[in-house]
Amino acid sequence: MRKTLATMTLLTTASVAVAGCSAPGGNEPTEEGETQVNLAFSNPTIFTTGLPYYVATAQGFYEEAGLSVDATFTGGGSETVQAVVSGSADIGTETSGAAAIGAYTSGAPIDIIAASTTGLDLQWFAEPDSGLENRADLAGKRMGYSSTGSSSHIGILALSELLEAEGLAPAQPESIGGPPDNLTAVQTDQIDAGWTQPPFFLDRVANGELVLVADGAEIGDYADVAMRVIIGNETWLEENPETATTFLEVHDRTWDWIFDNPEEAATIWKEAADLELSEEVLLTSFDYYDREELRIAPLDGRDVLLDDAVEFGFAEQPLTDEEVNDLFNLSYLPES
Amino acid sequence: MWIVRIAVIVVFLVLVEIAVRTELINPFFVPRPSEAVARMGTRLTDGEFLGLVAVTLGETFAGFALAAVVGMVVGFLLWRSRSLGDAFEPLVAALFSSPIVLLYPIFLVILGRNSTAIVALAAVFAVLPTILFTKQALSAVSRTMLNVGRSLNLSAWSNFRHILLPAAAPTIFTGLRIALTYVLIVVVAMEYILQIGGLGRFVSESSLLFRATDLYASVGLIVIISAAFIWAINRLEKLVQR
Amino acid sequence: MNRVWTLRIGAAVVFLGLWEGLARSGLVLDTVLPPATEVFGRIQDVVTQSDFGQDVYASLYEVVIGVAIGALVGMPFGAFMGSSRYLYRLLDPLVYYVGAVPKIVLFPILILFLGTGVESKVGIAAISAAFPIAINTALAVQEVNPMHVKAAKSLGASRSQLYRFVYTPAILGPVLAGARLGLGVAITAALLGETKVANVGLGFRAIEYYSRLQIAEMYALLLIVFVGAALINLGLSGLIRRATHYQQQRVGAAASVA
Repeated sequence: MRKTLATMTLLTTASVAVAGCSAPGGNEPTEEGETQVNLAFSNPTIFTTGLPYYVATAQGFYEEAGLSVDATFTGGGSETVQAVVSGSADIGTETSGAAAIGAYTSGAPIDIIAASTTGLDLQWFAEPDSGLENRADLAGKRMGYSSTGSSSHIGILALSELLEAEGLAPAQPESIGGPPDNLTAVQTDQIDAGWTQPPFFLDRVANGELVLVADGAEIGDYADVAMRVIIGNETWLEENPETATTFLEVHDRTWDWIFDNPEEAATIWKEAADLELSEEVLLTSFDYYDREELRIAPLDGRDVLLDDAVEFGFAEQPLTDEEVNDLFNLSYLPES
Repeated sequence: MWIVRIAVIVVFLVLVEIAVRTELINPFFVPRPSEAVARMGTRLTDGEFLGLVAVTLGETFAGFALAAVVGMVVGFLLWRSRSLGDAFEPLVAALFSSPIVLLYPIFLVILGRNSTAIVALAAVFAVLPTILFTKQALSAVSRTMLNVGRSLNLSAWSNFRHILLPAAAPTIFTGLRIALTYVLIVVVAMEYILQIGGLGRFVSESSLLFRATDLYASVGLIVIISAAFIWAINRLEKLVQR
Repeated sequence: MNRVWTLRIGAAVVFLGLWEGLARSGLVLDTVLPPATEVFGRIQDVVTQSDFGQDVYASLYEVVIGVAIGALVGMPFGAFMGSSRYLYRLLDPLVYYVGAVPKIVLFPILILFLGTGVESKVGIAAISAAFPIAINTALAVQEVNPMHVKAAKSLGASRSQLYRFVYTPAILGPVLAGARLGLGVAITAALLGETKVANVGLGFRAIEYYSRLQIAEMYALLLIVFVGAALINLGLSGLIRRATHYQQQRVGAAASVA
């Protein structure tokens, strides 16, 4: 009996001891005077997602503005929305407009507060022996995307629509994950084509290991559409309007700095994201993106986003004007 | 007794309904139970959804059949050869309590991102209880009973069919019941994690699209299917024992 | 005894030899099956990774807190359920049926309530652990020998004495055995949750290796997880056996609720 009591005490003490420890992955204590912002975005190694966060952190831009920013990485698309809705993050960047609209129509307390990437910057790759060469070859093929409602998902759905209009079979979308997951899936024949964003895998295309099959520019008329947006948790935004504005202002300024200092940005990127790619390859990103595509305002192509959300089944019915005005809340944008 | 049990469930659902209607529980997180139940009904008349159910059931039956056949054969061998049994029964028992499901990436790379990988993983997981319970069931059949058979000059087959099998059946059935539960768990979990196949994929998509009514309705259906399976195998057990 | 070990070692050698041979033969892609020697060689790399400590801590945290919460809910519920013959007969099938449901489908619901961080993994671990603990507790309370209760009562034992000297020792073994089963399913649930949505943890890391096609590292990490889980399991069984002299007999009853 004494033994059993001792065991129980031991087990209980152990549990309590662990419980007393701080939760892993929790936020570090915020320094005095700094405001905490929890950020969520997908695939942190990518130019459009992780780079501004890494640069703003490394260059002390957040700190200067009195912000303490923590990032949570998601699977993209609706998973970013999920993090924001559940309060794990206050702001989500680089999530697709369609995912945000879909979530909103289901009652998710979120606002779209700025543009994140305008245009569709995706590319689809395959192995050279797959026989896939161009867009039309993707008819009926298994194509990878990151997560439901992400821009890579929308891309495949838009492509399928094009293929069907041409009398071909639609592609089969498969939820795979980010570019590295897609590469693994292509190499192990789980899918026929995977998605990436420049400059990832372009070195492999150059040396013949992979071929590019389709480009976002060929798919739909998305050049002037804010395919990915910045969203915020409605409650948090209402309580911290100034912090939201400060964050957007720093985010925008960081992009200015990145385009003014590409070499330094590439160095920070390579180190922070622990990339194997050389800085030369990373620098080629600037051949693919221009500053305008990464603007936070103006947010263009709202109608296309709203149509796509319904068309592709993310929203069950079209939004009313009132709902559109409530969802697209651009009042947090910094002036200028 | 079942009337009282159903009453317990209904009371619980009514309490949730009230909590949601009075917004004690955020309706965005939890839909009204009445709506979720109604949605179950509409989904069950929806051909596309029934297709998903069929995929899940197909994978479950395939995995279960594989696990049952292989498991009973291996269990029989472990019983037949004493040294094999002594050597490997502890290994099977150790694997039984290990997180086998986490091996799923290996199955994906080897078999591809498809139903085959899901069925194989489910079968590997479920074969373990089948082996263990078959071996234990056979071991528990007393020498005396077997000797009776021998003294009656029964053939090896008759001995197996009329003495060994009936005596071991209840325990083997416990193993099969656990195997079926495991197969369903692995199939649905993998469909959910990988977002491929049937009901699990539907759960994943409903949650990613924030369709709470569909999410709860499909989770509810999974509960019902799982209960139906256990009920069915319990019935089967009673039939065989007659 | 020697024969047994010959068989075991023989099987291990054949297994490893086949693995190594198949991987080296070039018949299968080395992205699918790296040689055994390479996997064992990578164990050190995996363990010395800067994030490894954090991953172990996160996963352990989820599992331990999950099981603790599962026990805090499961034990009282089980005791309540087992406290009367009627309640037991009424509730046991319900708990049993619900217990057999794949709990991971509740994970998206938990994400909504608890977020995408460790909390949702603690939640899924807790729910998974609660069932075997509740079922074992209920069963144990039901099966407390009525003769012992009667004897204690006739000796004038008070209610608290009855709980302390009759019920607690009688149910301790099965309850702890339930907790051990709960721990097993909690490990699976938490790590599986990590592979779906997480930023840290062993399950998350395994998927990270997989997505970067570092398959040898992935195998090495899974090997560490398996050995770790087996050691925890073995350690707990030993502890329980020593503490209570209890041997789990009804493995079947509770194991089926994984």
